Amino acid sequence: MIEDKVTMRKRDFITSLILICASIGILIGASRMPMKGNYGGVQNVWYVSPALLPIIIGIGLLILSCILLINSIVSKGARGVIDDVVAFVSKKNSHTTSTSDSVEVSKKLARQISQFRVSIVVLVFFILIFLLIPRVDFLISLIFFLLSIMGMFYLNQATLFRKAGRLLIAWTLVLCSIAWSNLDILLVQAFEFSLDIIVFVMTVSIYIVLRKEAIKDTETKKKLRIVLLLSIAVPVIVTAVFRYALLVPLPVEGLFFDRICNSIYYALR
Amino acid sequence: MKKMIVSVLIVSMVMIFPLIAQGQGEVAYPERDITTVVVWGAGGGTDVCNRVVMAEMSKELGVNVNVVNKTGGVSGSIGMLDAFSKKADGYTLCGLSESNVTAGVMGGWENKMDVWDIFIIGGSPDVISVTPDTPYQTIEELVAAAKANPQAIKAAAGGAGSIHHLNLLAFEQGTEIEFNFIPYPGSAPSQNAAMTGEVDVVITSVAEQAQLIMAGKLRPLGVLVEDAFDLDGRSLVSTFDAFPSLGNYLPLSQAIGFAVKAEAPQNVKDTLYAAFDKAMQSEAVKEFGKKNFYVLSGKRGPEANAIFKNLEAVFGYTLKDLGSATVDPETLGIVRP
Amino acid sequence: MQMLESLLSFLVHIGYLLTDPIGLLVLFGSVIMGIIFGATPGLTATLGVALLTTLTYGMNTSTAMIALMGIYVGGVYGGSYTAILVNIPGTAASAATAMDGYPLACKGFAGRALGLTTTASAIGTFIGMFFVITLSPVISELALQFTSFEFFLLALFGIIISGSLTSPDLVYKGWIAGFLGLFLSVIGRDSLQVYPRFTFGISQLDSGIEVVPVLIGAFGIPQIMSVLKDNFSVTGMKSIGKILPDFKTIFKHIPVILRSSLIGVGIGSVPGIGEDIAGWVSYGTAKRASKHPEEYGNGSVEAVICTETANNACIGGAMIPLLSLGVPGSPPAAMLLGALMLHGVNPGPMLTFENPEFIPNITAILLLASVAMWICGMLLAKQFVKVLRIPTSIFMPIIGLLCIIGSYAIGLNEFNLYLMLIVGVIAYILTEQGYPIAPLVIGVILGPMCDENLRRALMVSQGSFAPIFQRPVALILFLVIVATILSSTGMFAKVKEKFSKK
Repeated sequence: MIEDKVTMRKRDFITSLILICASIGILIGASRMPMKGNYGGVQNVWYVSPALLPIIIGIGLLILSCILLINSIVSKGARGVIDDVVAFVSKKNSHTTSTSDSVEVSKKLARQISQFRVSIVVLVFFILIFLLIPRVDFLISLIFFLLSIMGMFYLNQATLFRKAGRLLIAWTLVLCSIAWSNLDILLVQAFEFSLDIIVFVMTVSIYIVLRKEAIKDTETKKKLRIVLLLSIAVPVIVTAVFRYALLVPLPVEGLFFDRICNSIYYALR
Repeated sequence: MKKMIVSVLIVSMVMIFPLIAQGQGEVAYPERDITTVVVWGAGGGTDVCNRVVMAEMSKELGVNVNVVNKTGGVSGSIGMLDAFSKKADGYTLCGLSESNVTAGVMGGWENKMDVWDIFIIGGSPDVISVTPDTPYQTIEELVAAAKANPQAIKAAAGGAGSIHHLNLLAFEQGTEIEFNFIPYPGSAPSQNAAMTGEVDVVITSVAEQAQLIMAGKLRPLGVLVEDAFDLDGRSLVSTFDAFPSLGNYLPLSQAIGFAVKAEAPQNVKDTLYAAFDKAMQSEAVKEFGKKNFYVLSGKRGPEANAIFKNLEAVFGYTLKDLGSATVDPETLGIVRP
Repeated sequence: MQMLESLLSFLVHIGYLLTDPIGLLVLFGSVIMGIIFGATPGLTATLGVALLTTLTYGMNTSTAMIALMGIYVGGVYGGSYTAILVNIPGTAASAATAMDGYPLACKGFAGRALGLTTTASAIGTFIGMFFVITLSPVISELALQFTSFEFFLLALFGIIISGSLTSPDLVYKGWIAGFLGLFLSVIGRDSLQVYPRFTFGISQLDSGIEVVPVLIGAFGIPQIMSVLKDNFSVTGMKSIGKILPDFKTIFKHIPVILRSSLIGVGIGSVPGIGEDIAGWVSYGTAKRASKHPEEYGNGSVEAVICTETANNACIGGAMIPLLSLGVPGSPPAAMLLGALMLHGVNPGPMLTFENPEFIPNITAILLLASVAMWICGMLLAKQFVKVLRIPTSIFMPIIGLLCIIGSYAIGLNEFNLYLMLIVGVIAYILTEQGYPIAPLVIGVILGPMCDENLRRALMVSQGSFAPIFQRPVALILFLVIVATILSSTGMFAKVKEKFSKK
């Protein structure tokens, strides 16, 4: 897991600066807390004050991050960061690439690819947790989540990642603008399930992209079938178990869960 | 092609289904399971009382009533906000207690309690007890000792701003004494502290202390209500006997219950009223109350709402005077009692 | 004499339970449910007991108790599955198990690790039960020695122990992670004066940060991210190994098992703290006492045994104050108290007079639950291990989905999910930079206990630390802490020596 020491020290330099800022922030926050006088029916003395632990944390963190900073400077991590910045700025001006070593280049490429993959995972989680779950039917949200993440990583093709990634970013922008402009409230007022339908369309669009890619050979086609099956079956089973067997209410029960699953459930009962 | 048809079929079914399932106009209630969101933790007094009553009510209503817990925020504000955000169709109830009335002044939400139509199951009177090692045998001795040495006797009463804390404050005012108040996160830790001798005095409800009193782990000095309380054949005297002036400040009773949104349709409320009345008369609830030393109330509608309105005012202004209210009760439109 | 009597009545109850087919069915069913619950990230024993309380309301008291104890025992044990197999602890109680269980699995000993945790958990539960029937009164008396000072010292002990969970990079990175955890724990209204600390006016932060979303965020999300990143087949688990109880190894570790059980029972019996803390304290203690402390963190069999014994022994420990004082010893026990009250049983000092059959009945159930857990565990582990054959790119997203629904179900609160993702991304960045994550989680668990009790203790003593030296339990804890610090500085000296030689 640990990469070479130099990159580690470089990162330490940046982290230590962030941590120093954070610890100063904690200390400032703590200094605003009541140190004496009467608060909440309790006579305050220094040792009773709610600021006690935050101050200890702030000081402790400050000392440790200073040690980290000094260490990173001594071990030339700070120097490395400055060099990088200088290199980055000069690169903008000149077209000469500093790396000639082909091993170095492929390493860098590999790191970029894995960073891209990580950001895709984070993006899908972000869409699900921040954009979908608070507003949209829980069942379709989970189906979207599984379909997109499983589809991309199980089929595992570079072109697919690029295409689906672009599509996801586009949808994220659409959903974010809906959420931030409070359009979602209006949409729901106009038609209760409008958001559910939008997300349904989004899920279908992801599926179409996956399918276009999968159609090329039978192996991937088979894989896609598994993905589709699982990404519908797992959420249906999990939500049904939680809702009906464990009696846990779901965040939003909309078009798919409330109208379909609940109707079937009450009809059968 | 075949797949195409299948997918089109699925999509159209999805679209048509809601239209079929949606009904309009006066809806029969209840047709589906009801969810009760209890704003306090699982296993606590509010939770247990609600579970017992809801089980009886579900028999009357003919559907299941699922009790879930959603805690957090200040004074249970997260759970109340959640229940309040749901439709006023009577399918979401909110299990709450007297301590929730402070959510407004503590900055938890921007509403008053009058957004709810409240059902009160009951509560247990508060009792003032001391550690058995202490020399105080009667309430008079305790008060005399506290008068002689203000701030010296350590007292616990649940968290700051809880009903027990308010009872403690009222007791101090009524007897003109001052304890050294040590806050604990709840009733159980307060009682433990009294048992270990970390504090000398503890005020919590009879229900919570019953077992400890009977086993001699705590010595009760009196209940903070007008009448003596019968604890399994043992009479707990009223503190009002020795200090009649307490009547000016007390009683401040615990009120555990649940609520439906005030804007719910009248037929929903009526159905709930009827089921609640039946449930309160049932053997199971009566037995539960007796065994756990709860005084059952069964108040609902305007009567219950008035009680909560009063509690809201008392709590709100007490917290303001303590300096721990974040929002001035006046800005919320709460009138000083 | 009284002990003999209770023993006799205990045996009668076992006989009675064994001849009740419905009871046995409920027992096995609830134990399996508990294991699945525990193994699912985010679903804890507490939530399991809470959800079953509703479902068992209609049953008679004895059957309901069988179901609730079954899910409790199974839930505490089940967390070890995901901890060992995918490095995502299913519950906070098994977070310490992941420290060594996962490295063991990586080395191809997944089966062995699971076999050992199953047996260790069963033995832990059994020893805990033994204490319930024999030493209940003594232990509950001891538990009453815990005032604010003792709670504070216990929390401090846990925090200092987490200092031994050092980083593979720089030693003090563990401490930084610990301080970050402590900082997370002070967010919210402080429990003494309800003063809002670092809440930034967000109402959701008022009640503080919940442990479960942080736990899943800190362990689950980074694991999912790093596995998917490299399309890494979960560990190099070419071989899983046979799942055997491995009595030989267990036998060799009897001293460790005994010590961990004592720690588990002790921590369980202290009101308000439970399995999670028991697991960590036992891990830290075992590491200090071990002849091979360097193996810890790299797949030590001893470590896996000690944490699982301790967290299951905690169940018995938590039952002691619950039954004898009516004070729950752990969070699931608090839920159990509510369930008992629903069934008209009032646990407390009067229980033995009002309901003399109850305690032998509970202990009998606990014994059978530990046996049932062992049988189910041995059978289920074989099936669970098979999930490793599923391609990770299918398996990990499903785990992600379970993490989400688990974190949601614990408080029915979307905010917990936000928290989970944010903590997850931060934890991922920290792991990439060589920070250990366990101290952060320990900080979040122990922070509130430390803060609240220190301030309250000083409030009671009016600023004096003298009670530490006047109270026997406090003094013992204090001496243990001093010894721990001294021994670790000794270790520091050794490490320095090694480095300077190089």
